[in-house]
Amino acid sequence: MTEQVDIKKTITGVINRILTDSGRDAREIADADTFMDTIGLDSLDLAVMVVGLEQSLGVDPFRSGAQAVQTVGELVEIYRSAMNAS
Amino acid sequence: MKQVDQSILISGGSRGLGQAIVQALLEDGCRVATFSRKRTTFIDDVSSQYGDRLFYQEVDALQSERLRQFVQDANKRFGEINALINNAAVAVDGVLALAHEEDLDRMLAINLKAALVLSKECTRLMLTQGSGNILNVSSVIALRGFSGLVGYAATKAGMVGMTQAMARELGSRNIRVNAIAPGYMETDMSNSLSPERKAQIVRRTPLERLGTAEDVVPWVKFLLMPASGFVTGQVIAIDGGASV
Repeated sequence: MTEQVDIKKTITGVINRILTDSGRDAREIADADTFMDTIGLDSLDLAVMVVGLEQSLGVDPFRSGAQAVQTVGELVEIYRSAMNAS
Repeated sequence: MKQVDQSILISGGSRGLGQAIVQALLEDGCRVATFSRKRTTFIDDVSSQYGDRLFYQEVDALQSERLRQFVQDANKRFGEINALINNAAVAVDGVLALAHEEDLDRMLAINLKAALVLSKECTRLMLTQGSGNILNVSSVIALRGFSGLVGYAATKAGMVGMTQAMARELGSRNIRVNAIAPGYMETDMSNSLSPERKAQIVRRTPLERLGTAEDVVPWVKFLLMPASGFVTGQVIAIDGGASV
């Protein structure tokens, strides 16, 4: 559970850095939030997010075939599985 | 950013046009990361002359994982990658009807897939940096064709499409993508041409000679400089007018 909270915290930090770097406001991030519709990230923002998470968490599950996800909660699960497997 | 401040990754920098570009960029003060399948005496020379400003490894462009690792190692060494030059290429000539499929696979892998893999890896870094510059070394053969080089032409034409699509995809993030299309040049790759074939090329070139690295390098430098900051998605023919 602690690990999952840390992953969520890391994802939230990376998303908010992307938002603030591009002049948008940081925000609370909920598991049910969708990246594009709720948070307002575009496809290049998502690429920056994946790179940022690779730098922070040491894994990129999408390199090894993970499918694209819609919500923050789904992404937390993808990273939790990848980190457990690594 | 002045050119001298840049960290530049170039594939295939140990000989031919790549060697000339590496030499020029090092002379201008850039940090240069390059690889080739085999180390050459040129690499030995510039390693001792420029020390830490050159990062070199033996890498086979057929191995995507090694390409990815090279980009990461170069980024670790220099702290950033400001520009990528996709230069590595092989050409196997002969009519398509008699071409070996292994040769077609090899040209597609080295000339096109490796460029895509390097661009993917460098783009990931450039997106997080908020800027970048990618230069693809295509060929005038991609624009006008050449008998006996169908496979090579296909890979170099692929680079043109890649250049234009990447320019559209990445422009909003301050990443420029351009290509140069040299004509036939006096390099290792043209040494295999017969004298008659060389003479035929020269006859079809308005400026009546083959190109040299000195004709091409200034364009590479210009496209890496802020002076060309409003240029993206372009293919610059450097061919003595052969494509006119």
